[in-house]
Amino acid sequence: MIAKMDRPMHSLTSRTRQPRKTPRFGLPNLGVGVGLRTTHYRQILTETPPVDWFEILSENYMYTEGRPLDILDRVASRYPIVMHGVSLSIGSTDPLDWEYLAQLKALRDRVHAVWVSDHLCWTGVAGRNVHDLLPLPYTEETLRHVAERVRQVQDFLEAPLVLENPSTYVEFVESTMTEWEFITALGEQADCGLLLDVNNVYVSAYNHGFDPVTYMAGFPMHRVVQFHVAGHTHHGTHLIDSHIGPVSDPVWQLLASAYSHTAGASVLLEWDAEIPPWPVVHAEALRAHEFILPLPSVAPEASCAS
Amino acid sequence: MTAATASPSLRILQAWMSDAITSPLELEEAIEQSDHAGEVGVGEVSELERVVTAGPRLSAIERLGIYHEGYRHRLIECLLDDYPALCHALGRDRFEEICLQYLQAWPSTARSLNPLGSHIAEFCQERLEALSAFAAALAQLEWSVVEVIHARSDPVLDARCLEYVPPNAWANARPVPISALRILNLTHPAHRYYDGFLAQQEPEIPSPARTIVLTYRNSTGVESLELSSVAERVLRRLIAGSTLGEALAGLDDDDVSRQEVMVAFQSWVARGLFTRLDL
Repeated sequence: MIAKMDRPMHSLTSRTRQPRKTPRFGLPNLGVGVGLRTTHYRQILTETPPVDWFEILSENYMYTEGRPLDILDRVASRYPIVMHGVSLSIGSTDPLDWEYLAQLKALRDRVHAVWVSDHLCWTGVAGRNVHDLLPLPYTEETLRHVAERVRQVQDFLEAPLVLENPSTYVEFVESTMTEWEFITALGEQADCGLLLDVNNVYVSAYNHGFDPVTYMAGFPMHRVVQFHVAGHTHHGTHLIDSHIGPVSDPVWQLLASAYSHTAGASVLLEWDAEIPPWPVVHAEALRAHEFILPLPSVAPEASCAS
Repeated sequence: MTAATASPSLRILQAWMSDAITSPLELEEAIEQSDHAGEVGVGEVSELERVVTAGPRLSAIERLGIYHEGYRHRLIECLLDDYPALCHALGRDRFEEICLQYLQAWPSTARSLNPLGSHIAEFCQERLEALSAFAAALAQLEWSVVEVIHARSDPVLDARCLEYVPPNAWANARPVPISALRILNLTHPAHRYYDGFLAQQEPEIPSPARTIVLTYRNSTGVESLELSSVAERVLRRLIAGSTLGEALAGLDDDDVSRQEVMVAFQSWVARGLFTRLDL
C-alpha cells in the first residue's frame, strides 16, 4: 500500500508546513529494481526472477482494460511496484488534469504501488501534448507555480509526490537559479520527495557545461526516495538520455557518491530502447550493488548539502 | 478543473516552445512564423538567444532542434509500433511522410500515446492515392489489433459447458461475447497481407475484394478470422444481445448456412469469443 503520511489532511495544505524529518518520507528502501518492459513480460511471469521491485510507466497501464493490466496484476502479485509517470506535466501552465490524476490514483490503489513519481518538467500546453519532458525556466515565478501544483497533487493523492530531475538540452536566459537550487527550494516549499536520476545529472552537466559534483553537493539528498541509473548516447556535441546500453562508469560513480549521502534509497535501472534479453538487463541492474555498499553511516539530515 | 495560476510569461514561453517543437516546418521557419514570436521577442532566429542560451558546444537553435527532432522521432516510432505492416506496405520514407502529415491533422491531445494512431485509417482514406483503399483497410485492421489488446479482459466461457445445455434451452440461450473482439468490413483481404508480414514473408498487396474479418484476443494472443456474411450477421446480433434463436432467425433448419453457422458457433466458443452463456 501507499504509505500514508502521518498527519491529517488539513496539514498538507498548510503553507507553513515543516519539512519531513523521516528519511525517504518513511517510504521503504526497496533495494535494486528494474523498469518493467513488455519485451520481458513472458520471462518475468514464467520464471519469477529474483528482483527486488519493478517500476512501471504509469501511462502504459492507465488507458487500457486489457492485456497490459492483466500482466501488471500478475507482476504486482509477486513484486513491489512503483509507478513512474511521464504525463503529469507538473510545470505546465494548463490546469491540472484531475481526470488523469484520478486514474493515476486508481491504478496506484489497484497495484498497491509503493509510491508515485513523475518529472520536474512540462509535457504540453493549450491541450496539445508534446510527449516529451520539456525543461522549465528556473525562476521565482516558476517555483511558485510548480510548488502550488505539487501541493495540490499531494493533497489529492494523499501521499508524497516524488519528482525526478530532468535531463535537458536547453537552458533559458530568464533562469535566475540553478536546477539544484530550484529543486532544493521546491522541496522546501512543496515538501515533496525526489527521484535523483544520476544519468540525467551527467547528461545535463555535459550539455550545459556544469560540474555534476557541484550539482550533487547542492542537491537536497534527505529528500531522495529513489535513484535512477540508465545509459545515454554520446553525440560528440551533446549527450542524449536515450536509456540505451549499459550505465557508463562516470554515472555509476555519481550514484556511489550520491548514495553515500542518503540513508539508503531504492535504485532502479531504466533500459528503454534496443532492449536486450532479460538476463542482460537484470545483470546490469545488479551492478548497482557494487556502488551502493557499504551502507551509509552519515545521517540524512546532517548530510543535506546547502 | 483548476484555473491556470502562472503569469503570462511562463505560459507564453511554453506556447512558443510547443509551437516550435511540434511544427512540421524546419525549425528556423517555425521560429520565425510562430504566432508567439512577438510576445517572446524572437522574430528571427538570430534573436533566439534572447530566450534560449547557447551551450558549450551547440548554438541555441541546435539545442532547441534536439527537441524538434525528438518530437518527430518519438511520435513516428509510436505510430510504427501500431502500424508495422502499413509501414512495410508503404515503405519507411512514405510512411514517415504520412505520419508527419497525420500529426498535423491529428495532433496528440491525450496524456497517453495509446490513442495517437486512432485516425490513421480515415486519414489514409482521405490522403493517399494509389494505395488508398488497401492502406486504409490495412490501417483499420492494425488499429483493431491495438483496440483488442487494450479492450477489457473477460473470463472465457469453457466450451465443455455446452455439453450441459438442455436441447430445448438453446433457442433462448444468450451467448455473451467478450469485449476484446472487433468485426471489420474491409475493401481488401488485408488480414492476409498482415499475416504474411508477421510471418516475415514478402506478402503481395492483395486485389480488392470485400472481406469481413473478425479480430479478437484470447489467452494465446491476438488472432484474426475471415467470416462469411451469414456468420457476420449472426455474430453481430449476438454482440447486440440477441439469443441464439433470435440470431439465427431467418435461417431455415435445413439451410446449409444454418448448419455452417452452428459449426462456426462451436468454433467461436473454442476460440474463446464468449464470456458466458445466459440461459
